[in-house]
Amino acid sequence: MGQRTIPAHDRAVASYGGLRFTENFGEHAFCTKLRVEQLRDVGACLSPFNAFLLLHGLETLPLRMDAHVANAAAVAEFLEAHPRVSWVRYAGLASSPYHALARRYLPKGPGAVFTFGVRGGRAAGSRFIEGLELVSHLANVGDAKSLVIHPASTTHQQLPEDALLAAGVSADMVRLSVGIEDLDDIVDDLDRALRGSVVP
Amino acid sequence: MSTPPWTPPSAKQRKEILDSIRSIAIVGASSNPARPSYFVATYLLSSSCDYDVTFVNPKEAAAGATILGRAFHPSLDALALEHAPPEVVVAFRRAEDLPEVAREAVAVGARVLWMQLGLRSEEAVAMAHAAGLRVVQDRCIKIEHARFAGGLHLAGFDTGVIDSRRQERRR
Repeated sequence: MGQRTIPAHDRAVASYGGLRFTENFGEHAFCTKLRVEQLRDVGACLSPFNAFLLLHGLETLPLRMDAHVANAAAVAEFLEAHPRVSWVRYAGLASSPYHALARRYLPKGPGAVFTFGVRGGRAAGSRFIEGLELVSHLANVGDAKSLVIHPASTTHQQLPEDALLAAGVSADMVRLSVGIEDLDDIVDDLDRALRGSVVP
Repeated sequence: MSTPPWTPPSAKQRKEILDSIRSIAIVGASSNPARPSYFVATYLLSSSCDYDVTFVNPKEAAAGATILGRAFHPSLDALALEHAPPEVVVAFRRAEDLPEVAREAVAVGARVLWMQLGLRSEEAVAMAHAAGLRVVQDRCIKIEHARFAGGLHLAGFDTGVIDSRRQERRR
C-alpha cells in the first residue's frame, strides 16, 4: 500500500497486543496511529461548538478565498505604485521573481498574505500601522478582515539583527493579510495611513 | 461468449457487494488477537454489522482453538457440510496459497472471493472471475464496511465518499 517505508507503521505495537498499523489499516495506518496513540495520550478533542464553526467556515471557504485573492492582487498593485512604498513582495505581481512559478503552481493566485516596505524604515512603518483605521493590527493571518503587523518588532522580535536579516525581515517590512472587505475601503485606509507615515 | 476482463470493483460496487451478502467465511483466521484477521473478525461480529461469520483454519481446528468463542472449521468443504456454504470467502492467506483458496471458494459455491489488504493473485482473480464470482483483492473487508457504514467517517478519515445524506445505519 505504499506506506511500508515508514518503519513506525510496520512495528508491532505492544500496547495493542502486537498489532501493526500498516498490516491492519493500510491507507489509514497513519491516521489510525494518530488517533489511537497520540490522540489517546493527549486527549485533544475539538469542542462541539468549535467543530460547528469549522464546518460552517469550510462551507464558504472557496468563495472567501476568491475574494481574498482578488483583493490581494489589487492591493499589491496599488501599493507597488504608491510613492510611500519602497518595495512589494507578492508573487502575484509581474515584478516578483516568483511570478512564473506562482502562475504554474498557484494558478488561482498566490494567497492574500504578503509584505511590503514603507519608505522611512521602522519609524515610518510604526506611524503607518498606528494610522490605520479599518485594517486591524493583529499577529494572525487569513482572517476575513484585513490585518497588518510589523514583524521585526513583534512576531520576530526575539531574533538578533543578523538573524532578522537572514530571515528576510527588514526593519521597514510590514506584513499584510488582505481581507474580503470592499476593496475601495481597504485601499483608502492604506493610502491615508501611508500619507500620514512621513516622519517629521 | 467470453467473460469481460476483471476490473477492481469501484467504491459503489464494493458497497453493493457488502449490502447484498449475509454470510462470510474467514479463511486463514487466527486465534492470535494481534493478527489482522482477529481484528476483522471482532468487527464483523460486532454490533456494527449483522453477518453470519464463520472461520476456517485447519491448524487452529486441529488444535481445538477458538476465536471470539467460536470454533474453527478445518476447510471450506467441512464448513459447508457442518454449517452452510458461505456467500463470501475472505482470504487471509499467503499470496501463493490464494489460487487454492479461489478453487475452494468456487467449489463450495461462494458468490464473492475477497482477498485482504496486501494480498494479490492474478491466478486467483482469473479463476474466481471466470467462475462468475465477484472478486476483490488488496482490500480489507472491515475497512470497506466502515467506509460505507460511517465508521471511517466517524473516526475522521478520508472515506472517499462524498454524500450530503446522513448515512443510513447499515447492518
